[in-house]
Amino acid sequence: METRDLLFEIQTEELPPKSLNKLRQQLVRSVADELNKLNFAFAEVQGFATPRRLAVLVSALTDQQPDQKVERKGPAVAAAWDADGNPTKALQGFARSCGIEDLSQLEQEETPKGTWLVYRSVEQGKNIRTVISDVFTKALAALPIEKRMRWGASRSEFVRPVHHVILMYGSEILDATFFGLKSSNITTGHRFMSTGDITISNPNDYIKALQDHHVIADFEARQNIISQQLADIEQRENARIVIDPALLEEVTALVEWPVALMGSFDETFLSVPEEALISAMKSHQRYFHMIDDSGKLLPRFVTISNIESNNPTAVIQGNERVISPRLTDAGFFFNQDQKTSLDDHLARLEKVVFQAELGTYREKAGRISELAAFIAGQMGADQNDARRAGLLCKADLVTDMVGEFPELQGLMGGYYATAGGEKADVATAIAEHYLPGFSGDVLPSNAIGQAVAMADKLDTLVGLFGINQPPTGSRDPFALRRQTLGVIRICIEKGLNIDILEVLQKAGELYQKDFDVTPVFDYLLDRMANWYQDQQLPADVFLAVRGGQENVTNLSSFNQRVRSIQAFRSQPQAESLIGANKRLANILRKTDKLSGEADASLFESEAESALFASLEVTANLLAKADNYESRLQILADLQPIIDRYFEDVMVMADDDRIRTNRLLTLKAVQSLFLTVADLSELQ
Amino acid sequence: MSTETFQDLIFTLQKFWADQGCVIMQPYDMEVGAGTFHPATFLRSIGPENWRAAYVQPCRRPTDGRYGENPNRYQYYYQFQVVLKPSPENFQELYLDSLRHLGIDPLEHDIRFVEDNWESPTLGAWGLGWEVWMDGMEITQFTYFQQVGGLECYPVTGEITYGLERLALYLQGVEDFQQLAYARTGNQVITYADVFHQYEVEMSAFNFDYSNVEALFSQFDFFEEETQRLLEARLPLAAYEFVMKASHAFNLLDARHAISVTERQRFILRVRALARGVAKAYFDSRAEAGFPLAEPDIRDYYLKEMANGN
Repeated sequence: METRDLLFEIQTEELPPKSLNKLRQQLVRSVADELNKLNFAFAEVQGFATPRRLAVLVSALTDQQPDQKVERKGPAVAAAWDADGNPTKALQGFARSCGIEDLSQLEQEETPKGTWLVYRSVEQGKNIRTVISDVFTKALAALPIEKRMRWGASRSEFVRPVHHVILMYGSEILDATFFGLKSSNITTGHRFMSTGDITISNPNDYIKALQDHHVIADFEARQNIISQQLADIEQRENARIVIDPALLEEVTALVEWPVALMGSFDETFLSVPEEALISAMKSHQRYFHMIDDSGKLLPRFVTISNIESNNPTAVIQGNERVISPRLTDAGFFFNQDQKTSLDDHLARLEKVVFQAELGTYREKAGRISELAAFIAGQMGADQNDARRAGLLCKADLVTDMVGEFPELQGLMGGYYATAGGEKADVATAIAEHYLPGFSGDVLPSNAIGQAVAMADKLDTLVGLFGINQPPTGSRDPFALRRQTLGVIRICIEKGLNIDILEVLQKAGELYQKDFDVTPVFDYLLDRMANWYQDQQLPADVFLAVRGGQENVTNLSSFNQRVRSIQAFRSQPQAESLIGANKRLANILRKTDKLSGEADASLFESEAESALFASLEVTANLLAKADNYESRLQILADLQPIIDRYFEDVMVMADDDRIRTNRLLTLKAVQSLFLTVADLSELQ
Repeated sequence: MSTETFQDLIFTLQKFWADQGCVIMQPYDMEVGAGTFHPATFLRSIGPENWRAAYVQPCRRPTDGRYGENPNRYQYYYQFQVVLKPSPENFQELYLDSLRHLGIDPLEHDIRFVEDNWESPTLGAWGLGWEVWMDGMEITQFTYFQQVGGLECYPVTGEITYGLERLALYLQGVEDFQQLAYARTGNQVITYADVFHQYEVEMSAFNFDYSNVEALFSQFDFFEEETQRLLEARLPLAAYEFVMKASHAFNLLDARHAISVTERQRFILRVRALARGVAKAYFDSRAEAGFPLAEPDIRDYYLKEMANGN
């Protein structure tokens, strides 16, 4: 047995940049999995990816699969021979399937159920050369390729046309055919800075050989080079380059030999909203944009080229020539859009469908408007501003700018509102009403924006639940999960005093379709439970509050209660109170029909009277307490009295009347607790 | 090789691709949104027959009108279209050779193939490929057709679409379409603006403000009916001309924002249904003729598939 390194490379036409890294990672995983399945030992599988190649290097791969003991169970001895001592059909078939003619090769195994024939043999391990083609065929088939393509007159399919396939074990070329191409040890270097074929003499030379031909095969290495080049420019220019990780990954996948170049554009473009300029540079040109220390956009950009040009100035000038019309277009859209008022844009929403069963965006805008005003009313914010912002918040969907750069929705509406003379609060609200856009994103900064943001999200939520299209594990096209979380975060993090159930009911009414909002409310509370889990807050705390009878429809105070209970848990009385509540819940579980009040004359011990007397006192105290923490504290103070009760009193007395009376006492205790929280839920 | 003027560029490309065995066709004499609509691309991509052609095609994209004010966006511009069926193994290299032929040094410029998959919902067609960037500017679309008119492409047609004006900006080192030298005689230069500026301004106004929306709607309906009538008469080439007309009427309506978002989808589906009908009828007509331009093995593959009812 020996070990060598193995190299596999498919050299292709330019692969899709956004999936390149995923393809590489999956190829590495699949190759490792296949080799493991076959019991071939190896040290490591490394993956490489450039626009024109995917490769793996398997280091120290053994050439031989270990031998495997094989044991196959045959027919029972009793069923193996007929009365004349001849092999039965069952035995003949078994022998055939084992590939033996001499029946004496079969062994017998005695089991409690009888004696059986067994065939034992050692299957010789296979050589890597006989299975490797299969390993890579399977690994290639498992690649997550969105659309496979064909080329020429071939029926082969892959991400892009394939030109070379390397398959080498040490310096030996392993014979195989992929995509109609015979494996070899030949590849090509950089498309322009290298000419002719490259012969790889040994898998270990791969990286070096490609580097000599102006290809950095290692994805991370290439990304690091780009980061370093960006850092150098930052230092040289005394400015900051904004690096979006997704863009960095994309440009890494677009070059084999990165060379960062900085260009500039005319300062007059800076009068166009900078988000639009950034979008034009980023989404169309894959440029990084630059800012000064105060975060202001600079009229400069960085492009990552794929060549050490013998005339870099020409490349920079070329790029500058491209960005100018792009920015001109952004400016054109910005001016064109402003020729129409937001109110007129709004009218055009009549032709834009929000959801087939739920009508147009114009109708949605009307509902958002009313709902935002309703929410603002509860918040004590300006209802007219909320109504106005809600009405206009979707108008930018029909503007040219948002048509060109959909990611600017909301933001552009904000700009156009300002330009159209709307109040600053209204414009800000429009600009921010899609917030939060992702987990951890910022929230709308002003009250009007919070009202509109919630109104928009809740309208969508109530509508889709109303037509029975709630999100499922796999399908959530309207991102209801994220939007619900957004509502929860706004309520809690902004400490809003609103009754979410009333808001949902209002949202339902606005549809005029008799939508039932109960399931929406339940969904919202479920999402809230998940949200707490994500914050490592135990689910039981949430359930304890949800189980209490205090109003659970004010999410902000709900959250304060959750935090209080969490704090309460670390108090000395907590454990015994939780235990007592669980005991109460257990004892009272089957006593639904119990009704009436405890009769003090039936008490037999002082512990009973003490608990009973404390109930009324506690209830009075609770009624006077003005915050949740003190209510919890008042309940916590009951702990010694309850503990003494359970020590001294046998609840399940033989005497029916006494037992019932005691259960009634306990029920009163439980009810008192439940007004605050269901502590029995705590673990 | 001279590429000093816009027309030199065209001559050079024609010569280059003629030398690669392409039939040099002339522009189709109808309004189209892209060179792909030319029957030499759309119809020839269907079925087993080999084909190589190259031609200039003026393209009309009413919504792209900027009254001649955007340096590189016009509602009427030229594409140079190359189709090679089957796409050759050295397809990309051939294209790069054509750039070298135009005097572009790939060691000087940053030339890249950037993923850009092509889909034409109205033609029921899609393909995978790239836009070719030179120093960040898209100068060419490069596509391997996978499906056309709802039919699988086999062999695959490789399509190259040069944006002639953008390419010329580079070759001539100017910033704006208007400044391009279209032709030169002695000391006299005719610029692109001399040839097209007034047209661009007038047509932008027409597209955005003066087209007759009502008439366009009724024309669309008429073109649709004609296509269907001609398909019934088994005249796929004639029917196809009316698909092109319908498609252009749709584009004009779109430029007027006359078609709402929901209606838009419906119009696209209507044109697509027509394009599919034409594709199928054209395929049948070629099958009847015995696919004369096909390689024998691929023709046999098709005949077998057809016999199996596929």
